[in-house]
Amino acid sequence: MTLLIKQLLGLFKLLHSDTGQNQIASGLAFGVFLGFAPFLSLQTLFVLFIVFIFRVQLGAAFLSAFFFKFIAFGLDPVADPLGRYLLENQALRPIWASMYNLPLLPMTRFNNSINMGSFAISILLCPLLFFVFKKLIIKYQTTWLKKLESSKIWKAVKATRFYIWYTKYQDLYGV
Amino acid sequence: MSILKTSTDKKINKKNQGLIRWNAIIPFLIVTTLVYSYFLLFFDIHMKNTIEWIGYKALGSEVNITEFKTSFIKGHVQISKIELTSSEQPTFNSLELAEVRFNLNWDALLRAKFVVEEIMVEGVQFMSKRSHPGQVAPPAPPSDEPSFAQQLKDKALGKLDQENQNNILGDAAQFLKTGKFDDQIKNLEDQLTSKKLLQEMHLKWSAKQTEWPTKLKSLPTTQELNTLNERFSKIKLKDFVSLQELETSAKEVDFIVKDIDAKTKKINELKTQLNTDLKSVDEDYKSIDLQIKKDINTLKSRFKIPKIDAASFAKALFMSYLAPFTSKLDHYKVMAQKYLPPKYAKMIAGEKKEDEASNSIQPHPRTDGITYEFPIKNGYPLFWIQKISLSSKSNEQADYGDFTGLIQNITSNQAQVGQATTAKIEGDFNKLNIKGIYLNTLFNNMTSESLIKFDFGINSYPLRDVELLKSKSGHITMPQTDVSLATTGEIVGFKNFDLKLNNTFNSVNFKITSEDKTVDEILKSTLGLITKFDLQASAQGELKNLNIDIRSSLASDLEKSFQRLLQNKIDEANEQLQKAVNSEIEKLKNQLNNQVTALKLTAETEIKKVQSQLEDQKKQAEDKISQAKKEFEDQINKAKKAAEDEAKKKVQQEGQKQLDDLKKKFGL
Repeated sequence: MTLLIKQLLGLFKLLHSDTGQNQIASGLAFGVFLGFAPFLSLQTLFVLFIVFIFRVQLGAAFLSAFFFKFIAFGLDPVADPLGRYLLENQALRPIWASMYNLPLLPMTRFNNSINMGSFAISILLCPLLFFVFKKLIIKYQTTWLKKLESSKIWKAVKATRFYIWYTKYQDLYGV
Repeated sequence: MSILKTSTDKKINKKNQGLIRWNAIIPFLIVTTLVYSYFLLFFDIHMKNTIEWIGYKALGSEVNITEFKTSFIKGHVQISKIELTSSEQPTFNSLELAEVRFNLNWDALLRAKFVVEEIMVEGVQFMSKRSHPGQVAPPAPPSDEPSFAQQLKDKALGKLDQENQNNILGDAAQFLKTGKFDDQIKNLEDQLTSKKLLQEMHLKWSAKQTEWPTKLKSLPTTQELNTLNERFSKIKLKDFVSLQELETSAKEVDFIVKDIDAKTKKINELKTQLNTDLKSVDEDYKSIDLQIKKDINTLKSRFKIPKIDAASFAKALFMSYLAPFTSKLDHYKVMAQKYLPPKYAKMIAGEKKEDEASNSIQPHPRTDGITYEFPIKNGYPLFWIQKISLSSKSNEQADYGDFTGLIQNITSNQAQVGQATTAKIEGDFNKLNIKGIYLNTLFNNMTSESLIKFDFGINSYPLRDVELLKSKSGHITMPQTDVSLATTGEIVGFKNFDLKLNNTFNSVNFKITSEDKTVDEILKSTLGLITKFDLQASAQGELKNLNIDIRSSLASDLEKSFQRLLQNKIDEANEQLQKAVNSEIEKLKNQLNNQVTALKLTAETEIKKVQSQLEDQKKQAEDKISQAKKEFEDQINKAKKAAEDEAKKKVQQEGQKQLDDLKKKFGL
């Protein structure tokens, strides 16, 4: 839990720094994968491994995974026919059959129509969303942040105990 | 940008952070090292403890493993010295395996399947001495359902026999010693149902005896018959002047005849009643005869006439010997019900048939998608031990026995593997003189109803101090014998059993002790000649209703010996019993017979007498009236003729006169 809070605070900080756009954008994009894939599957482990090893913002990845999990549920009616189309496609059938007989790959549960459809959607969305998120972050840092800083609400937030606690925490642990 | 910037931020921003999160690699490596260390240092110990704990819970007796070694890279498992404590004798192991080792197939593991190509089992020992007594779980509370062993006992012996199963010699002794049943016969009067029945009949016929005279009194008396005669004689039967007179007589005769008919009817009714009563006597006699037979059989069973048939001997002699076998069956039945998959466990309990569709592979429709199944080219079932090789060789340190065995295809899905589970084990325990042990089994779950077949036997093994019979009257033991055992079994659908056991006891000698000299002599003379005998037991049918049979040539030999000696006594006893019963019954039967005969005679004579008298009178009346009618008709005819003649004459005379007058007129 501490790690998660730390990562979320890190995300908050990175969002308000000049750098870190790639880390946040890639974290959010990988979160799409995590959100669309089944919780206990080989591809989830694989994405988690990448997220941990490479400098991807973990807080952004988890936050994105959390939100995209809900979106994935909502997109099931789209993922299901898409998955069926792919799995029943005669041209692709030899590939699926050989994958089914390979070690490890069946653990991805690719042979389920929703998993396959969700996987296809996340493959399509992941690079696209990386650029979208990056652009949005830059936009936020250059335009929206200044407006926010000068707003009365932000001034009120700065006066809260939480903000004071946060700045102290940042000074002490350097998140 | 000033909003959240601190002094630390500035330092961070100055750092050039690379693509790889190096500060995460170290914790990852630490965690990996910890996991590896756990598996290297503690996993084997924890596995050993877990197997011991599960073994104790499953078998109900302590399981010990000396060493459990695994190698993840090779997928290798090695277990040294597995000891299973005997629940009956905790200082011994029911089974000890010196070493078990196997390799898990990595290809299958990567598919989340457990496949073992070969398990090597070495150093098999039965009933080996333990270094310390093993812990045995307290026995489970008795179940309401009768155990297999209890069922076998109940079915084989029957309730009455069960009470006396050890008393077969006692009965024979008593019988041979005295051969007299006087004392037992003395009190039989109160035990005879037929006697009670006869007494009831006697009372019934006593009542009839008072009832029938009253009924006979209602028959027409001589006086009444005489009155009828007088009435008849007064009737005018000739010299009728007119038709009216005749009619009056005929009417009177008719009245008398009707009277006679009424009386005859009454007599017939009495006759029918008498016949019904006599018929009921016959039926009563028949039921009494049947009851007498029943009484004799009941008395025979109470008289302790020993059942000297081979089956009774076999049951009495070998039930105790077979008890450990049946107890084992109970133990395995309970274990199978506990640990088999629910669908098979239910079939053992006889609750449900196996679901045939459960084994077929097909797409599973889901609310959130469809899972597709593709052709499996090199797939594995979830669990598959391809081969278990058993081998053990005795050495100077321990008698492991000389065994070879091969168990094949233990799997969670026989249909996928296309092979049934088989086992073939052969071996000897030379030190224990147990030779020619063999076991062949087949478990086929690919057919509509699963089939288990087994064939287990030992060509020769020594047995010491086998107690065949222990009762107050005698004690038969076999101090030493050499036995061969052959069992076969077939279980279809986990519910239909067909089990057979064949024991041959060779080089037999018996130790016989009996307080009774007669029995002692018989047993010694009979069993002294026997050096070999067999025992055959079978159980067939459903587990809840097994048809059980036990036979033995020893029992047949004993039967012959006892039969020869006892037959005369038995005949004598039977005769004596028959006589005793007859003497009790005959008295009453004769009394009853006399009563019935007397009553029958009186009633029949009286009825016959009155009936014949009435019939005579009726005939007489009818004859006389017909005669009178005839006479009257003759008389009328005569009168008619005379009248006609007179009229004719008158006409002639009148004509003659007129003719004469005419002649005169004409002067002729």
